[in-house]
Amino acid sequence: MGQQGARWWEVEDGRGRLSVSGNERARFEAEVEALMPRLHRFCLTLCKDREEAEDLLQDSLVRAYLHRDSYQGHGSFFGWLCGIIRNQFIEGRRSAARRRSLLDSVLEGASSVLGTLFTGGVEQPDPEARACQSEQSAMLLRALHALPEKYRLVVLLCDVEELGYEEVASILGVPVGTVKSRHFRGRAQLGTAFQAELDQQACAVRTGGGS
Amino acid sequence: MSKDDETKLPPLPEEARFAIQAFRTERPSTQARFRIQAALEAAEAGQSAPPRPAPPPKYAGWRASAGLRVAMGAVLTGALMLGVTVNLDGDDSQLISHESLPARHLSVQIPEEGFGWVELPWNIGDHPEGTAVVHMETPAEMNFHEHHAEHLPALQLVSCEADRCLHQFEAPSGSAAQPLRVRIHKAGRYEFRVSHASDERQINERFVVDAGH
Repeated sequence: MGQQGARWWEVEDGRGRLSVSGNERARFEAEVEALMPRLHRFCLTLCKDREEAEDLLQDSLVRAYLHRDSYQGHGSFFGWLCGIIRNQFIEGRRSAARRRSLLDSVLEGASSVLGTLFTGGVEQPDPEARACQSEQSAMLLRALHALPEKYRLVVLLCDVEELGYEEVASILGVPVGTVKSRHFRGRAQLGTAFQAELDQQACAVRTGGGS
Repeated sequence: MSKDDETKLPPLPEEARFAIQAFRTERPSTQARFRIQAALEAAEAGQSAPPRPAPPPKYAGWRASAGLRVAMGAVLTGALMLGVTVNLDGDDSQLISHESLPARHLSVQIPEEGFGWVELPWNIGDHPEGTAVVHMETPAEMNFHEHHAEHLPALQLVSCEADRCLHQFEAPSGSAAQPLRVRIHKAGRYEFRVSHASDERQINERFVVDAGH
């Protein structure tokens, strides 16, 4: 974010550096690019599967772009984007809860009768298990999802993203002391949840099952 | 977080530390990146985001399964409501294809008094020639069924719950497809969910419209 306020900047086009003037979107994309993996992990930690996380990231970045002027430089750009993602996530959940009983109930109500006909009667694996690129990541994500959200996000930001308590407090809009206490409790819960995942995996191996 | 803070925290299993390192390698898919870029381009141009491409094979299995259930539900529901007979013999897996498109955002200016129209760029033209059965969920406050009966002759109000209403109608598909026009009376944010089905495919779409003066 070192070019805030600049009316031009430079981008690599593979052949050299080009000066791009007045292209707000290119500038926004350049600013977001470096943060993309962290933002993606933030979305994965909020959502239950990769598809939902990627939708959330897309919707949030569009909203951030449309309201980019509201970022005044107070706090980190990453923190500002995380705030937008959280709001978008909460709004999406509320909307989903409101609309479940209408279109979804009509479509899913009828489909439940026919569902097994068209899947051979076999339930498909939990999409959460496919949310991550590796089994280790998937286990961690499952363990994180066992935590209440207020602990989950603190553990993510502190232990995965290795942010300082002050920055986490700024991102989540809570006092530093609250972040510390949530981190302590969240860490303890994560240890327990992850151990449960390990035990479950060991049990599955012993009984010849798979995850 | 300082090293001193770290020593005061409950320890994590060694495996969890490895898992955290693995999780740090998680990145959005290439497809997602393309979609984000396209959505930002559309936002810059003041248009809705382009539709999402088909999911990669890695995720296609479970999505297709869930989608197929929803698709068949939509077809059956539509058939029951319209009294159409559906032939369930033959190869079920080729009976219908299902697509869920990402949400698209639109902005519209409406007059201070009266109302304005917004055209939702739905993909009903992707169906074969003929008609598609449409289910559309709208905010209840819009009284969609009252204001749109004129240009959607077969429009029916299916049900309302809380602040949402579900409607059903038929619309021309294929090359005869028309944009879906929605009348908006006051500024605000409106969400529309549309599911349209033909004999060959079923498409779910979501539109978010920001209306301002």
